[in-house]
Amino acid sequence: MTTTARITERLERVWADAPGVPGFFNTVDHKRIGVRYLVTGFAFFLIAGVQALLIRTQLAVPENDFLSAEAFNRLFTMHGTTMIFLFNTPILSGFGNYFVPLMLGTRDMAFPKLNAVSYWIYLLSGFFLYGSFLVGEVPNTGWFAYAPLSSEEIFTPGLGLDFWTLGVIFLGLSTTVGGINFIVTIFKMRAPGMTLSRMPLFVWAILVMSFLILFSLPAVTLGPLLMEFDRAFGMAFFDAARGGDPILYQHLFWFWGHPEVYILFVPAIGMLAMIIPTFARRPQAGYTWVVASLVAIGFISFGVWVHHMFATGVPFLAASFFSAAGLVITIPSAIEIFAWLATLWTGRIRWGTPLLFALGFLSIFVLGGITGVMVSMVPFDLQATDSYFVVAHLHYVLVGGVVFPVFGAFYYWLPKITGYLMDERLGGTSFWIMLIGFHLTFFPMHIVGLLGMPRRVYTFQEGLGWDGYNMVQSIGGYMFALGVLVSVAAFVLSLIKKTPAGNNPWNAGTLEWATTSPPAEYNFAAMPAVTSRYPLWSPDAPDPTEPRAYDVVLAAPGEEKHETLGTAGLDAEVEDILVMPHPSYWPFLLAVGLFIGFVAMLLRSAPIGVVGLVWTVTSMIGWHWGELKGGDH
Amino acid sequence: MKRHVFVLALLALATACSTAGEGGAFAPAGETARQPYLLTWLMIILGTAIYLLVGAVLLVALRRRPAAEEAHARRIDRRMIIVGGLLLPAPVLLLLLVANIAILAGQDSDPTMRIEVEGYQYWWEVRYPEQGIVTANEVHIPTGEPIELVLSTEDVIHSWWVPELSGKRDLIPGQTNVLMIEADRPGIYRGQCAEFCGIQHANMAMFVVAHEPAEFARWAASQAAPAPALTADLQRGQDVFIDNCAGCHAVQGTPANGQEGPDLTHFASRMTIGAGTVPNDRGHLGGWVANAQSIKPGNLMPPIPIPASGMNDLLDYLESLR
Repeated sequence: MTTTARITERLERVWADAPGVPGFFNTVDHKRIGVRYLVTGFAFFLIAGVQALLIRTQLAVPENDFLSAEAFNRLFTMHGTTMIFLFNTPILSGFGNYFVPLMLGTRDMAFPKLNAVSYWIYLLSGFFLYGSFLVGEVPNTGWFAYAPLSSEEIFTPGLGLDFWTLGVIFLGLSTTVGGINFIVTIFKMRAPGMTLSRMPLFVWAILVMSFLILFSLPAVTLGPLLMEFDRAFGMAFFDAARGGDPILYQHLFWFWGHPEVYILFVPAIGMLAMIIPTFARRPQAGYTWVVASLVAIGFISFGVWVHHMFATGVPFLAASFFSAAGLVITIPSAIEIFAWLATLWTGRIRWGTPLLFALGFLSIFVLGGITGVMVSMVPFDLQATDSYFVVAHLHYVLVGGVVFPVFGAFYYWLPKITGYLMDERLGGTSFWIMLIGFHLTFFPMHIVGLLGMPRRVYTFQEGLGWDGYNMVQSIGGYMFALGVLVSVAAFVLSLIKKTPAGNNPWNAGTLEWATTSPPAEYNFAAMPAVTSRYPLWSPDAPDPTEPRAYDVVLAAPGEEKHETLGTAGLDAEVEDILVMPHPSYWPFLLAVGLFIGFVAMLLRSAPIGVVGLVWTVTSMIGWHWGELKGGDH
Repeated sequence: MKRHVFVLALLALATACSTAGEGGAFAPAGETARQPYLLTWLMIILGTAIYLLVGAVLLVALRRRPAAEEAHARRIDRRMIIVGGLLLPAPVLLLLLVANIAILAGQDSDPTMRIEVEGYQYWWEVRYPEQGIVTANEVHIPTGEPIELVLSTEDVIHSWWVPELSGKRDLIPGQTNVLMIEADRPGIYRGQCAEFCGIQHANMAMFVVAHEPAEFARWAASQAAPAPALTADLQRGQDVFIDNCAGCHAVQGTPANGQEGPDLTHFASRMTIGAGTVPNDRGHLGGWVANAQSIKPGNLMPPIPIPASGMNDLLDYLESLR
């Protein structure tokens, strides 16, 4: 038996998940977890998309009675909440989960069990929020749920807002844990030789995103937590009549809310910085500029939040400062854009659906960036804020800056995940329908907003000059949905036709393409080492699939455990062999325990609370039992 | 295909331009809306130029034959990033920053009149402390004078927005905000609440009615007067009103002194019912009194079971409150 074959055979034995139901619940494989994030996130995208279509149907004509006021208010609240919390952030985590370890050339995330629990919490918090539909008390005050409208039960009675506050806090656990996991993985588990300056840009982006999550998320836990205190215990954090301050809530919310825009946009930058070089067939232009811009965006994004609040009456000096920060953040974004233009300019273009979506990003996001500069200007913002102009702006930024890159990423990386190529013609068709549908939906919103149409109105009167725009927007909305369906069809077709993708269908340069499609449970038979940013493009680079000394050590006889390399320092030198956890039911059980706890808080029920607490603590003890015994890692 | 998109974008832009003057922020009717308006056009022009420039660079990038030599390509890369990412946006942003601060710093002028506006779910109370007027949903002002709106609320956050006259200002529990408005010419300027405030946020309009100063003085004098003396017929209507409506509504000069809903002393002089929800005519008024929930579901006025015999008297009475 050759060394390679012996290693492979042993790896398969050690890393394979149990088949069937047990494997489903106890897997800690970052790829299975990543796929779950992608599937769940996309399902929520479709749900929130249907909600958007209902909204557009209601607003197609003036004084429509397709939806009641209450139904409309619930729908726009859940559309925003779902898109931001349950689609955008998780779907990016999904790509991160699947591809960061592959790009780093390692075998799993640093904390596989935490990774599993972070997914289960995400899924259950989604169930929790959507449980509101089951009991018919759905959040209805918008995705940022301002106080005191949302914080006082006299204004918003029922469980709806409690679902929202507790759901957001619950989901925050998952996001925080995920961020920590990414940071440790990226610092400790890069392939030997992968210095920080050789790290793929997507990994850089995930790193910046994770730090943004760590520093901003406490604010969006605190805001809803204080709100729940007001609601459940009659406290007065946001009740002006009893000395509270409703503006405090806005500060807490947007202190997370503005960095959140970049939590979403930064990984999308990372995706584009993988796709565009591949299709320009040359390395990303200005790698250092791109990295510096990512980091700069991360810092500046914490100085912009008050521009959501200019209309509350911000003093002159503060308004000027936050206005200036809003303008300054344009510079790193412009650097990213021109770095891609330069890559395309000096590259040899090869056409493909992922590139189309990347160009669609440019066509949309550049406009969203320009309107972003506009709303940073206080006198203009006072006209634009809370009008349809801002609805247009935020969709140009989030659909252009996230949805289009995510679709590009699906077309780019699904062949790696499924092993099958996607249909290029369907991809192109979907792209053009989505692009035109998008502009039809959202461009007129700029105008109708400045004509005086506020956001979040369930109806509008005839004769205000808004009718034609709204009709066009609704038609565009349906068109966009059709484009999405074509992409879904392309995906289903790829699973039916099963055209093998091969290891590297796009001839890309980074490590995720060095392994099979789909990758084996253990990712790489031999741990790759790198000497450049694009190891698969370097003719003189060592063959990443060639076993090296540490592969033999990893495969040495003895206890059979999940093992991978730990590396250290800026240069990623091999430091030790990390023994990783094996499949475990505890992450799932812990998430269920927390879920029970949150249901108890929702129902304000002590007995259920005791069950949740006991369940959670038991799961934590079980989780660590092996270590307590001094055995398993 | 790309060319089609380009044409489409230009068409959209042309539409945008052609709507100028149609209304809203595109049709400023006073000094307080003119600066944002000029700034808007400055930014639309600059933004369009930048968008077209980026588009042009992209189109060339997709078509050109790349340089063969790697060192040369790297020089191009660096130049494009520095020019496009730093040198191009920096002066534009600096210009905007200066304009922003100049406009913000130049906004102090002394008002000739203060009008208090208090936001409620889902209507606006309007008070003229100097003239002793209390009305709702309509702010009457003289033209050519800077007016200060003093904005407050005790329930939830609302936002005042009449785009032809100024940008928004929020009404926030626990704090008092002020907003300057000014109208050059007589007219009726419509706006509506801009901060989501509950189920009927969509039906919370306000109107600023600008009069020539002499005309405004006449309006103010008539509004400051109490309700006129009654005929016997109207007395019957007033009795119905006091029995059924006075718990929430006030009519100055009568025992009706409710504070929950709008002051109705000069109700018949107003243009709309329910903060712009329906026109103020007898048919809508009857429907509103009988069951306001069918017209503006979720507003705070409950259905009032007026005896059939009293309805006509009540409507006569309300229509007499000019």
